[in-house]
Amino acid sequence: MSSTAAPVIEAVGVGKTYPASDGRAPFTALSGIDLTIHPGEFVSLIGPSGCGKTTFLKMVDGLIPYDEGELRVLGKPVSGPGPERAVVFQNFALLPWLTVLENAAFGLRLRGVGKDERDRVARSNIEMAGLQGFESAYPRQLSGGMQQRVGLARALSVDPDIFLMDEPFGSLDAQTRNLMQSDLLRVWHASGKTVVFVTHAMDEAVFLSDRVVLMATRPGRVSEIIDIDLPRPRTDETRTEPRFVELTSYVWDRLREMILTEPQKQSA
Amino acid sequence: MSSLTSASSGRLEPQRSVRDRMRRRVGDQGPLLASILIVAASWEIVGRTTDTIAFPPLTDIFAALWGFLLDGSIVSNLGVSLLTLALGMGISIAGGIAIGALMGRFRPVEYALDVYINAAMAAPMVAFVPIFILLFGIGYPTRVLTVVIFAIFPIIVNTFAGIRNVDRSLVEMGRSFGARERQLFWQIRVPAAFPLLLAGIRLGTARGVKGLINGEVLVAVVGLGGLVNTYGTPFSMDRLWAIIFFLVALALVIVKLVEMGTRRVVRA
Repeated sequence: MSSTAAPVIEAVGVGKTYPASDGRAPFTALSGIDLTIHPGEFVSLIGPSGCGKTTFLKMVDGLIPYDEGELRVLGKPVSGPGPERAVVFQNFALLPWLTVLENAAFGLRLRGVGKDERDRVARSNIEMAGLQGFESAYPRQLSGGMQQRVGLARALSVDPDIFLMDEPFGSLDAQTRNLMQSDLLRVWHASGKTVVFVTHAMDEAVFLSDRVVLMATRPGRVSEIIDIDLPRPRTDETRTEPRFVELTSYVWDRLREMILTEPQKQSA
Repeated sequence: MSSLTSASSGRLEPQRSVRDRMRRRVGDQGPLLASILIVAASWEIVGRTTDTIAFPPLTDIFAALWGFLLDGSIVSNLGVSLLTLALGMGISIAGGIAIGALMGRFRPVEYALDVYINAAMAAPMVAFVPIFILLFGIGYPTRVLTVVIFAIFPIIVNTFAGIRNVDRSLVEMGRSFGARERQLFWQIRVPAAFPLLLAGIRLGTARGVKGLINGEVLVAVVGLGGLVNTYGTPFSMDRLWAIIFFLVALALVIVKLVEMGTRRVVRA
């Protein structure tokens, strides 16, 4: 990839320890995370539950502070959320009293963009996310997959440099998930933006990513970074290619090792 | 996106369930009608056969009620009562929402007022009425204030709880998209609190009607409560019961109206 360009995300020795409380020992959620992500890259974070992949994503967004190391986005240390980053949330986080259009335009509304302008931008991104015709529907009238398309349109509308996606398809059924993955790649190709994608599904990570970051637990850390050398654009045929199967089973082998060796360390 | 259109009608309820609900509603009325008939018949028998003054025959009570409706004594007193209730509820709703919202928005306000609100929720409000009489005499102010102290606290508590207990993921979404505290409050917390706030108004109205009658009975020979006072003698028990029946029916109607009104607002 474009490893010569300035990185969009740079983590050097990033760690987070929650102090002892209520008689519980201090808990190190993340330790020594080194990760450099370049412009336009699609990087997935995958690992057993408790490896801190979502915590790290929220740190990059600025929602959770880190207390060790350095974390820079576009060269600047992260100190809170910023307009160059937008999150697509696991549980969609749509406002139930707003329509699809109003939800998609919500980020722009918070930034003080006028109604005509934000509606125009939101409309085009609703179309980009494949939801045209549903602008005046309310979230409760939509299926999970469609709700997440609204979440995607909302993130697209603020035109960030970096999309942070926190298990966005985790609650969707397998067919919907496959469709959403293909659509996400289409949107990503069109935008040329950087994506950091947290998931617990091996095939999803391999299908989408340029690189898969394998994380381990106790403390949460980067265990291995796997280059995914599958050609793009990736289509449904990609899923049947030997190389895809090979990479997916490699990720699964590594995860299985981690999960099987983990219980001995667990006390709870 | 064919998957979208096919899923779009998923939330619409099938026709059949409407009929089922109708049938169930009619089915529910059976036991109620039976119990009303049994109570009414027993009352009539007790009234006719025993010597007690406390329970005049039901037919006498309804005859008295009919007489009141014809001679206008209920109608003329109803105006006074409804005006007191409207004033009291107006103050309770405006004040209750304002206080609850301030408590939800600013921690110091919460810490300063919390203990009084909790005490007031548990206290027997009728005990304060003599103090109001001492301060304001027996005119409108005392009676309106009685409605207010009965009605305002559930409205405060519900408004506060609604604003404070907003789904955390929605607040996190707002933060991530750059919302300031003020924006979080007005664009996420307040609208999210709306259903609970309206439930508070329903609860407050039911208690306000109680406050109204309490005030009128204790304070002055005015309004419907005044009629209770006038006929609260052993020699006119049928008329007392007639007024009590009317009050209960009135309370049911008012609460039902407020309930229907607030439900409609929520749905819109």
